[in-house]
Amino acid sequence: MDDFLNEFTERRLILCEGEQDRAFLRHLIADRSLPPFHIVFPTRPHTTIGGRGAFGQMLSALRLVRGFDDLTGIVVVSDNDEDPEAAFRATVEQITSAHGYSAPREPLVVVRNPGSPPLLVMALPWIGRPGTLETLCLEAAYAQHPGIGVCLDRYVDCAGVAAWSLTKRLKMQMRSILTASCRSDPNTSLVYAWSRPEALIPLGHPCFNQVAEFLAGFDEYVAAR
Amino acid sequence: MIDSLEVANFRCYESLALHGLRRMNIVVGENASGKTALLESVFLTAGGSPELVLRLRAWRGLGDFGTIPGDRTSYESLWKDLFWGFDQSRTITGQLVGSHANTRAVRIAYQGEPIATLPFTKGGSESPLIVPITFEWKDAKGNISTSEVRITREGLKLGGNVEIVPAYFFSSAILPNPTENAGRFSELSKQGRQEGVIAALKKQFPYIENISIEINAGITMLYASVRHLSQKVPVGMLSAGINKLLSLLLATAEKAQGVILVDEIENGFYHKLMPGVWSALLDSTRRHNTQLFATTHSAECLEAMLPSVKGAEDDFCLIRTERHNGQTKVVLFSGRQLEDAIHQRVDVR
Repeated sequence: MDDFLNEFTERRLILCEGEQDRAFLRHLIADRSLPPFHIVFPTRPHTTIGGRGAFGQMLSALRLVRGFDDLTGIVVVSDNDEDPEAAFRATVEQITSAHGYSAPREPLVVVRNPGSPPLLVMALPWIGRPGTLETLCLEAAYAQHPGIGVCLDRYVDCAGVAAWSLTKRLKMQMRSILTASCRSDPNTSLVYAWSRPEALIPLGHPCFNQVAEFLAGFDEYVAAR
Repeated sequence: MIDSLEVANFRCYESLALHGLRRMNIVVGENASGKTALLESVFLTAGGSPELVLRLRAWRGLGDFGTIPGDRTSYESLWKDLFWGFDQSRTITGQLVGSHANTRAVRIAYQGEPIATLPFTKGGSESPLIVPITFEWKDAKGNISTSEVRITREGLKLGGNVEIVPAYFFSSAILPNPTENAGRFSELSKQGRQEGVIAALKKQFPYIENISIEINAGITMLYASVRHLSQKVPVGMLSAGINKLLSLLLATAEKAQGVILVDEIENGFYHKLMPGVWSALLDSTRRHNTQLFATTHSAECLEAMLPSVKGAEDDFCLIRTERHNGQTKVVLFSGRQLEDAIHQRVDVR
């Protein structure tokens, strides 16, 4: 029953969109010695919905996990995509559909409801900035592999990818740079990017500082609001 | 329908209040966390005779009740484990609140004048005086029925009350009683209502063509006509799962407002049958306005419930019993939360 969510092993919880976000956050927390978080994302064995579209179902389901009452806070981590405001609205819709949670006015605003831990939304790459997790990871990967970055920019241009939507272009760039820089397994993905012997995406890069600093001060942040 | 259950000083529950019960109440929790005790509290409150306690003892594996010595220790040992913390100075109370017919309360306590039964146990060193245990049931109209359990020279004297909430307890350890099943089937048949049960059974087991009452070695029981078999077969011989589903369907169909209590519902069923079992039970409890309380340890069994819960969330709830530092806690989750949790692969057990 390894694929079942049994019990919260930490008192802080992150709900993110998918496996890539969880891998990133896990490795960032370990790399920067941040306080521990239990990290979950919606699964989809019985349904076609997943990611942000299943946040509501997941938030409702999380109440049945043992240890829910002991959580000190929940961070809902969601990509901004092309339109940060629209993405935030979609996330809030999911939160309120779960019942028992109020709608936060904006990202990083803590909402409190009886019977639920404090909850807030953290946006990636950061508040108000269009993009996704890949936006941050690409910045770090480009810095780590500047030669490949130059080639990748040319590839994006000549393949006509520049005309794609931002989120699609970011995914193409991410996959390409991982393939070109991961000699041990060119087929690797963002989920395993930090499990390869190569330093593909250095988590010490300053582009990750806002996320890391926020998680580092999470307890104080929630307590103060 | 029972909407709420309140219990005090019963088994592991010093105090329990459950509101928002539904037609299908699924009980989960670790071993020794109070799942069976919860079913027992409903069974005892719904019932009308102290004899039910003796049945519960047998189902718990404490053996059939035989001759009891007339001393106080033996007498009290029959009832001791009903009391929270084995504290027999407490009063056990149970209350079911729901539709008129399902509203009922029970109160169990040692009270009344001490009595002695002659002849005394030879060489007995303790006083032969016994304070009798008294069971007092109150129905929705406020009518009270009292039963004091006395030891007589013939054995235990147990009173009873006929006006009860029909409650059927399916213990995990006991196989369905063939004569009881035949009796229920017969009652339905007299009213021309047996076809619904047969149809529900055939839907899950299409090779069953019909069910009938027959006599086998002097015992009345149900037989199945099975496709490609030249003779009818006793249902119990055919399959434990078929026998169990038929028993559950008969119990749900027999009396409106009835309560079906099933301990470890998944036992006997092949896992691929479980979605159909849930569907058949939901359909039958709805049609006959009965209510189910079922415990399970099985994740497969819970997952198999999903198609039935979907669209019928208001008919379901999940009750989880938890034990922390010697105290039992019970949490109730809605059908919608149960559905979401199964979707998201949360281990709700």
